Amino acid sequence: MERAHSAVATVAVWLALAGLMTDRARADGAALFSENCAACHGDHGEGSPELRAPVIAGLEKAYLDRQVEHLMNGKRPVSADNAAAVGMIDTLRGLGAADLQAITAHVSGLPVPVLDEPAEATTFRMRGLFSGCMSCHQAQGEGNAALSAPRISHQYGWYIKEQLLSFRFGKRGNDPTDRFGKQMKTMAIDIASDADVDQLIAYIQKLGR
Amino acid sequence: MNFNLAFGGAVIAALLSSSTMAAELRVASGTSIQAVIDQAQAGDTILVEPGEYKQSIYIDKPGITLMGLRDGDNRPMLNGEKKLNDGIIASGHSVVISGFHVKGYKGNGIMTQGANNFKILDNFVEGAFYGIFPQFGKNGVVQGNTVTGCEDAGIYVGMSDNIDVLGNTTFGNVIGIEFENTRNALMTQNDVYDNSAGIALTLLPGLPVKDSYGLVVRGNKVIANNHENFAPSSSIAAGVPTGIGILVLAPDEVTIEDNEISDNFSTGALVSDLITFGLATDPKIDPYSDKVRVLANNWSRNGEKPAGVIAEMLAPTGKTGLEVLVANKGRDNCLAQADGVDSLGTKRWEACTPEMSKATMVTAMIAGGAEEPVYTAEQKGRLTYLAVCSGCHAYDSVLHGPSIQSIKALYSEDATAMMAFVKKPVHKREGFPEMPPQDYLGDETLKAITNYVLNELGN
Repeated sequence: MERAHSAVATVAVWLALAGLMTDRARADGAALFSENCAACHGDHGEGSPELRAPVIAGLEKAYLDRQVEHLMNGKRPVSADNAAAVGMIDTLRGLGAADLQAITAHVSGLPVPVLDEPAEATTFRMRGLFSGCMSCHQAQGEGNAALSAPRISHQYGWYIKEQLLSFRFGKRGNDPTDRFGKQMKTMAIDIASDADVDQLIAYIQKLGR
Repeated sequence: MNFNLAFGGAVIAALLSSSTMAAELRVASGTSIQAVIDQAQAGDTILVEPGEYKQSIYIDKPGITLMGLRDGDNRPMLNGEKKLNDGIIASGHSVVISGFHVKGYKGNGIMTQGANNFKILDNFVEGAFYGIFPQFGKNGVVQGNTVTGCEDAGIYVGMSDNIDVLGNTTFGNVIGIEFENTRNALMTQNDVYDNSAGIALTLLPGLPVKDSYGLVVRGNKVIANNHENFAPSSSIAAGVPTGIGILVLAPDEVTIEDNEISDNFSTGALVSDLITFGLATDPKIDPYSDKVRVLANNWSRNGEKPAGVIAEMLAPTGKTGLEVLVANKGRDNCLAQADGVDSLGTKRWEACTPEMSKATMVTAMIAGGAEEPVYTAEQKGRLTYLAVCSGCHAYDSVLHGPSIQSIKALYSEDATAMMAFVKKPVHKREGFPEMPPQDYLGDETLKAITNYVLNELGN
């Protein structure tokens, strides 16, 4: 009885502390981001092709949380020679859950950047091919939270291609519990040819401009 | 006691015999049309008095004639008030639907689903997604209707055979009249104006019917189809270029003859293949338009102000004022050589010959009518998919709803959730039309469809 009582007290104290922590961490989302993420992803989450960092600004919080979790627990594997990604996972693991929450809240609130990568002119053909993607990622590639489909527009072409090929060639979306990753893997495999992948990337680069 | 039984038997026998004769039933102004249909027997005629009916109507028995009674300009008006999805849906063979004003429905104005020998006559349909939509039917006629304000095609003949579309008026739709994956059909004496594109003849990928041929477009007026394209952004119709009189996209054996085609800003006729449109994703479909015969037509002032992708396509050539624009590698196509018919991409086209004319063709329908099959429970999953689902869902591209491929990916492990969604859909995709609830199909059929889509269906 005595023991149960003290356990309850301990939990109460822990909850109070966690509450304090959460408040403090939330306030520090911007600072934590600046300290841990901005070196590669940029001050505004706009990413950097040179540092192999994608745009993360303005992505849905639920999507960011899921990717952080999957990168840390290996459901979204990265190749060992991708030093930037390996380093990022170390950084993520060094942060507490509340800090990570604060960071993703901050990042999802950042304005979506407009990139001006050069891209081919849009054709009928590209739109037709992209029709396969619209079912979940929407006509402008803006994503659909109701389907847990992230925004794919306003993203670097090299990154979209790298990820699409990861799904296509079985590097991503393999974990049996990663439901959305598995969905994307199925769709990526069904793209008819690698030439079509390039057409799709060119179209996606033009979206939202 | 014995007497009573014998008497009762006689009454039942009398009822049975009377029920085999066609009856004429009447719907009083503003009362439930469905209630009368539910009581009707195969072969009955249902007369509907003028008045307003805020209802969706389902006809699932054969031989029903549903006829609106006119009182001067007054006719029965089905009003969906932008809340209801479908005006009239008929799956019974030999259905006749005539004389209605159908307005304010979000999905289909009048649709037949897998019904053969149908007639859709003299209706006025305003503002649906598809105005009049016979889907997967054999031997039918759409005649004397007026259709306007549809976010896709005003009259949309989908995956059907032996169809006549005669003497209709379509204006202010994204597409005036479309034959999609249809075989042997005649479109004539229609008045098609002020749509984004006037007439479309298409063979789309990812549908269960893999070919389209024997299409005759003759003696129509196809005028000033320059309306802004207002299709939902994700739907395939949003990709239809504005300012086109007639679009031919991949069917074979097409005859375009004796039409008046004028004042369509992008081009009079665009003949293209699925490769150009990025829709050549279906290994079972021949992406090219072969044997397209553009015979003598009355062309004037087409292609003066090309818009959108057509403008971009033409920019490097510096050409405008095109009657016929071809982006198609098909074979055995021909164009009647005449002065003042400017064309681009017809270098390999031959000159049409007089015997190709379809001037004497009266109908594409089958003499004596089509068979009227009754389906078993096992066949129902596939058949209902053909007759209902594939109206909006193609295998690997967005027709109007999300692709079947993406639906399979979403629900591969959860058939129950899929069935629940189909019964009572939740609108999740902005820029897509809302899916109409399919609960009217009943649990048994819905289960069969779910099973078919998730476990059997491929491209």
